[in-house]
This record gives sequence, structure tokens and C-alpha cells, in this order.
Amino acid sequence: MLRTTILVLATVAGVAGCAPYVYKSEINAFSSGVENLATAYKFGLKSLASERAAQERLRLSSDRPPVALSEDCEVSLKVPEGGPPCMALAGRREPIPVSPVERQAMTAAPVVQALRDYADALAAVTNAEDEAQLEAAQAMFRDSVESLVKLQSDQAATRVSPVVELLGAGWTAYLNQRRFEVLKTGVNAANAPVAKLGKTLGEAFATLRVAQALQLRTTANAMASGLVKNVSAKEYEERLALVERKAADLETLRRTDPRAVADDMVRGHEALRVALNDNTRQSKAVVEAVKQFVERARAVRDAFQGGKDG
Amino acid sequence: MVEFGAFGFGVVLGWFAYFTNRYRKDVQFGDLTTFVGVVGGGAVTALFGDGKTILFAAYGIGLAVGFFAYFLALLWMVAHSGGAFTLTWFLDGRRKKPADDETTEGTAPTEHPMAMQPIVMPPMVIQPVPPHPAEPFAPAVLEVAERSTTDFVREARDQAVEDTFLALRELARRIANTTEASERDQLLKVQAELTAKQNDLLALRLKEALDNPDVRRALEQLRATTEDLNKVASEMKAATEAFLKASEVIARVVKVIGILQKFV
Repeated sequence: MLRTTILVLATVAGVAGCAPYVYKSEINAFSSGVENLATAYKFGLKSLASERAAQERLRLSSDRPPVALSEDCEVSLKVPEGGPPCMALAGRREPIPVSPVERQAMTAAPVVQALRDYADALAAVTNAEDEAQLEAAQAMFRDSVESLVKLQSDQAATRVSPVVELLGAGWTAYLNQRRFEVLKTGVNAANAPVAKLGKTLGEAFATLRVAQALQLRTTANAMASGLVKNVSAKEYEERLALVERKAADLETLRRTDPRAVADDMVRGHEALRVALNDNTRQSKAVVEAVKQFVERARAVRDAFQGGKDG
Repeated sequence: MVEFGAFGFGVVLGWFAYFTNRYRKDVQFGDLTTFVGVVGGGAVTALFGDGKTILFAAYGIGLAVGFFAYFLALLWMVAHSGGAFTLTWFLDGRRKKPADDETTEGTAPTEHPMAMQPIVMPPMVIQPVPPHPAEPFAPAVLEVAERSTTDFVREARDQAVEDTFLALRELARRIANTTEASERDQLLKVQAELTAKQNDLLALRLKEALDNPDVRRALEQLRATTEDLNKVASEMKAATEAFLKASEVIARVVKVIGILQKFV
């Protein structure tokens, strides 16, 4: 009896040991890095819009035209579907238009989204939540079978327990093997598109960075132009603080290289591909590449978030 | 006598130098070296033979006399043009419209009446690439040619972005240093214009990066891979859930059997 148990447990350990390493933590880290990049891009776009709004407001406070509510502020019994919002209109001037670069930057959204969806899908395949669920299912299965056999004989239940354990381990190993195969195929297939889109994303980021800096500088200039002798000391200080804040945001942006982070993403993915094809569990290269990517992606997100609040 | 000859030669060249300068369109620093080379170079000094020093001096004086004589002649003619031309013509070439019975037809436009004009750069025009003939170039050759044209345009555009950046830097420096409100406003206006141009260049740059068949193809491939991954992920999730359900069913069956055994 003891011999059988030892044998079964050894087989269980062997089956579990043969299961390939699915780079769960590395893939999840890669996914969070891509998410940070996507968030950074979103912040960048938001910043362009908010800076435009800030400039509009500064222009209004400087020119002080009469203000009136728009026609869309009239409310009828029928609830409108979409259409322009109710807003305060100052004067009859045209608002500051959306710049061509801002319009163009919006068209990069599908690239960002595709990369994000892909990273999420990788994480979904290697998902930790699934494994926990699986372990719970296995425990329940083992208990149920043991209880079923125990109805016949207690001795038989003791014998069947390791077999059930083996079945569970086999099931886990099979699922992990499947995960591994799917990841390997997926990452191999996606490597070239990720490299291409990573380069494109880098270009989009580099452009967005300069566009955002131009917007920040324009707003700061508009704020600074109000710093004249006839404003009160308090107002001067407030405005000066705002200009200094813009300068700080600009400095952060100036020191940020999002294109390099996009390159890091491509390198991290390539390291993952090599590791999955190699299957020697030598994950050091992946760990380092992904770690660098994640850290720098976070810094890019923070830099692009800086100008968001306007 | 020979000195007078060299002097006269210089006068003629000087006169001609002013004349040439007056009708020349493009002014560059390199022109100065060309001018010195022509009027003082080996070709001229070789003419003077052994008495080079004295003759060159006479020639130089003559050159200056001829050059400024042309200018003085212009001054005299402007003064006696009966108001048709004024001294402003010497500053920026400004002149009055011809009278009803006069015409400017056939006149050579004078580009540099006295001083150097500001150089106006012609706008950069990218000529459309003419279609390649099907023969005799191989597709690979055409591809390389096309790529090099694209690379050239890309480099020119990126250079323009960099140049604009440098100009904006210089403007920012001047804005920071000026204390004159009107000058500051003027500089800010130029900065705003240059910022708009930079935005346009950036938009072009981004458009090129995104509006690209390779990018579209990569997007399609990545989306297809993502779809496959998601499909497998949900299948695996479903398998795990099925396993969980089966375990629950077995647990319930065991409970029922246990209850029944108590009664039987």
C-alpha cells in the first residue's frame, strides 16, 4: 500500500514537473507595461485637448467678451439623443481648432488598442485566476470521489485517493501544456506585427510628445503674458505658480523618451518568444527585458499624465 | 602711362562689377570670394607682369573708382529723374508706378540697387514622382528607387522639424531676454506661427507612420492572433468550469447516495 502511494506521488511530481513553464509573471508584467503605454497615450491625447481648453479660457479671460448660453441649452419634452451639448458661449468667436497633429494622433488609437488587446489575451491564456479555479475544482473532485468510494469501503478510499490526485495533476499538466503551446504559437505569430506596430507606436509617441510640449508651452506663454505690473501681487504669484508648473511638466516631458520604451516593448516580446521556443526555463533574459520595459512604461505614463490636469 | 592703363582697366571692371551685382538675383557669402577671385585673382595680376605692385595699386584704385562711379551715376540719375525715382529705391528698390504713357515692359529688374536684399527662400515644393516605366527597370530597382525617394522626403521633413525646433529655441531665448513689450508681442506672434508650422510637420510625420500598408497588415495579423488567443483562453476557462461542475455533480450524487444508504 505504502509502495503504491509513493509510486503514485512520484508520478504526480513527475507529471507536474514535466509541465512547461508558462512565464505567467513575465506575461502579466508585459501586459501591465502595455497597459501603461496605452494609458500614457490616452493621457497624451487628453492633455492636448485640455491644454486647448485652457488656452481658450485664458483667451476669454484676457479679452472678456460677453457670455451667453448656446441654443442647445433649451429643453423640450423630448430627450435629445446625442447632438451638441449645452454650453456657455463667449462672444461670437470661433473656438481654437483641433490641430492637425491632434487629429492625426487620434488615428493611432487602433494601434494602441490592438497591442493592448493582444497583451490582455496573452495574460488571459496564462491567467492565474484560472489556475486557482482549477485547483478548487480538483480538490472538490478528489473529495467527491473519495466520499463516493468510502461508501463502499474505507480501505478502497485510501487506495483511490492518490489515483485521483494523479488524475488532477495530469489534468493540470495537460492544461499547462496546452497553454504553453498556444502561447508559443501566438507569440511567434505576433512577433513581427508587434515589432512593426511597436515601431509605429514609438513614432506616434515621439510626435505626441512634441505636440504636447508645444501645447504646454503655448498655454504657459498665454499665462505668462498676463504677468504684467498692473495685476495684484496675489494674482501674479498664482499665475507664476501655474507657469512654473507648466515648466515642470515640460521638463518631465523633455526628459522622457517614449520611443525607447516602445523599443523596450518589442525587445521584451522578442525575449519572451525566444524563451518560449527554447523551453529551458532560462527566464533571466525575459525577466530583465520585461522589467526594464515595465519600469520605463510606468515613467512614460507618469510623464504624459503630468500635463493632463491643465 | 602704364599706371593709367591699369587704372582705366580697373575703372571698367569696377563699373561692370556694380552692374553685375545690380542685376543679380541670389546673394550669398560665397559670392564675395568669387568676386575677389575675379578682380584680384591670378588672371588679372598675370597681366601686370614685373611691375605688379604699382600696377595692381593703380588697378585697385581704378576698380574702386569705377564701382562707385556707377553708384554716383545712379544717384545723379535718380536726382534728375523728375520724381520718377526717389532715394527709397536705393533702400529696398521701391519705385513709383509708371505714368499712363510709360511702361516697364522690357526693363531688366534691378535686384540690388545698393545693399543686400533679405533672402526670401522659395517654398519647398515636392515634385510628384513620375510613374516609372515598366521597362527596362527590374521591380527590385524600382523599389530601391522609390524607397530612396521616400527616404529623402522623410529625411527632409525630419530635418525641417529639427530646424523649426532650433528656430523655436532661438525665439524662446529672445522672448526671455526682451524687455520691450512690443518686441515681445512680435516675437510671440512669430513663435505662434512657427508652432503651427511645426504642428503641421508633425501631423505629416504621424500620418506617414500610420497610413502605411505594412502597419495595416500588422494590425490585421495581430488582431487575428489576439482572437485566436482569446478563443483558446475562453475554451480553457470553459473546460475548467466543466470540470468544476462535474465535481459538484459528483459531490451531490455522493450526498444523495449517502442519504439513501441510511434509509436502505
